[in-house]
Amino acid sequence: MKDVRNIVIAILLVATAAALALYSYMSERARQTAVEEVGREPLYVETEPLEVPGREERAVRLYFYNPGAGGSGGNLLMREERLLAHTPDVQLMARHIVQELFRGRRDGLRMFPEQARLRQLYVLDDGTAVVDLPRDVLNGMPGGITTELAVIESITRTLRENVSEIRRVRFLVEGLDQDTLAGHVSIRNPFM
Amino acid sequence: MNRVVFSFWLTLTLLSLPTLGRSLQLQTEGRVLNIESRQHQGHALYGLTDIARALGLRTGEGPTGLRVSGPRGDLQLTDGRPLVGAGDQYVLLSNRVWRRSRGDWYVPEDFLTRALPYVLDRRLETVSPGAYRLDALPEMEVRVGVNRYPDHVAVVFEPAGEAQGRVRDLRDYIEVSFQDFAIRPRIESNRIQSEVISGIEFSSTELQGTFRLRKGSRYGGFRQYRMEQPFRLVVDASVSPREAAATRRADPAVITIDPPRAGAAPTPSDQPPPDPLLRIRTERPIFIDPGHGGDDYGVTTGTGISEKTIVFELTLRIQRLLEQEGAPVRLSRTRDLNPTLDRRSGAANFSRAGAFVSLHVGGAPGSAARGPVVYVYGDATVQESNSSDAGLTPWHQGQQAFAAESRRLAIHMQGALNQLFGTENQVLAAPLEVLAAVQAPAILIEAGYLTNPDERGLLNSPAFQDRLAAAIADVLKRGHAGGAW
Repeated sequence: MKDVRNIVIAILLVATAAALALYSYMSERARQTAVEEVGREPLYVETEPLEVPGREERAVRLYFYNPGAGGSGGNLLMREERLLAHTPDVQLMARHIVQELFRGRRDGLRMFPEQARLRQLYVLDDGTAVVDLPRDVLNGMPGGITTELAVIESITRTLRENVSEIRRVRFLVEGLDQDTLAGHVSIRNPFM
Repeated sequence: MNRVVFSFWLTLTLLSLPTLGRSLQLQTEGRVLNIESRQHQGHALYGLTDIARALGLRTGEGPTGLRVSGPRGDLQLTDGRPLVGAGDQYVLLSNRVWRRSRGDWYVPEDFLTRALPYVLDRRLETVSPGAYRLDALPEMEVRVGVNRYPDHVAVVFEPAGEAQGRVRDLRDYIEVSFQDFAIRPRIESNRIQSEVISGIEFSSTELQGTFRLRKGSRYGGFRQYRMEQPFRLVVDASVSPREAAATRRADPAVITIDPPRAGAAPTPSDQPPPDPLLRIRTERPIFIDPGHGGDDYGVTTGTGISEKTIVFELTLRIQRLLEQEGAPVRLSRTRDLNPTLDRRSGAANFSRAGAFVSLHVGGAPGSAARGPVVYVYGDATVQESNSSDAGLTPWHQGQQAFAAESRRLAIHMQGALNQLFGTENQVLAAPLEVLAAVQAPAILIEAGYLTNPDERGLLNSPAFQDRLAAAIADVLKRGHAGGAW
């Protein structure tokens, strides 16, 4: 009888230890998954409220990739002026301008894929605009250094020229700091 | 009841087995310390806090990473990178460093044998696998005097006691070391002002320390002898008659690549006079990095042609041409793999590359962009981060010291490729990650645009690839002086 009791206690202890180990493993796994999920959260910004008829408009200068630049030597960017709904909210205005860049040029030439959307854009107190691009936008582009430079310079120049509070632009991809935008150009430091 | 306790213990032990790695044993001053391992991404790593405490090292975490300070210098660790900065060098570890939380860092085992010797003032010896012993090394002062004569220089090393000196003839310098002692150097003057020996340096990279007598432009050879009472080791370097006769002969240890003439693109057949700014050391390999690879196809087209395949084929052609000329070549990948950018530049630094060429083909929105573009690292619009507070050169600023040479190589390469493609493209500067850390003249070539239909056809043609490879190899071979290549 005593043996049976001992065996039962032993089984209970083993089961408790196994449950503890499993719990520890699962909670660590869950924590890691949670971290990954934060990075994947589709956190796209909306600019629709700006597009209300009758709202005050302002002219903005948008810088697009210039196909006439050839391989090198010419200007990488070309300028187009457009009227956009105005808001005194710097962050909202900056988001609206970048969304307008994504729409492409009047002649139909697109730098970004048609479904491109800005993930997030923040303007920090020190004048740094943090532009968060989704990975699928970059994957949907032709690739190559010219493309990466065109994306960076187009957004940076457009924001700096149109939003006086923005002094430099930092890029994130999928909400995270990355070494490069899409495999070539370092985005470790902000662009001016 | 004993059986119950035993079963419980056995179960706990069995359950914990998969999470346990081998612990490290550090023997120091009669104490034995065990450093437990921790599994991270399938690798056993060891707590740096425990190691530092055991060895009396200080650690401090800053914005650029963790600094580990020892009596002979600092190490700079960066989370997620296998490279450790040690003075002006970098040490490549077998695995990445891991920052678990603030102040809680983990390192692979070879951190002990590869990185710690740079900062410890004791000798670390491997007793058995996983067990290390620290032994103190006695210190000894060595006085260095120089006697200068018209055709030779005698450098006298006078240790404070009897010591076994070792003299080695290396390509650029003569190395003098004293085993079993940590040297405290007393160099009376390193301003020798001689063309035979241009300077004396002391390197404390190794624990014992070594003296380096840098060979001057008229150096011909040396002999060594010992003198007693007191013990002295003399290295007598002199001008060789042959060297003296060949007054203006080019240094055979370097090739010189010439700058293009102003207003005209350089051509392979049009060799301007030598310029000493770009010197690819012929004893060092040319490092070629075929871009992308593995699941990263680079620029692709609907026709099934991908950048990774084209640049790899091109690389093999260039390698063959250079090796036919006797030039050593190293590649960042030899098959369809995709090493990280840090690993590519790290491999180039590890092989002490004389020049670094990253090969790519271009892509751009639309199909108009055409022609080759040669890139160098740099961009005035980028605000660089500050140097680390440890006074080390951060890994990603390694290329800065080679900016002038890189640009010169790029101008020359751009000229040769423009001639082949019939374009007038210019060298561009951009903050390219793969070039940032390379400690050698480094360029990235985008050899035409795959998004341009005409160039896509050319790049896919074996005949054109042969011509392209020849043009690139020709620039790298150019300036050959002395018959080494």
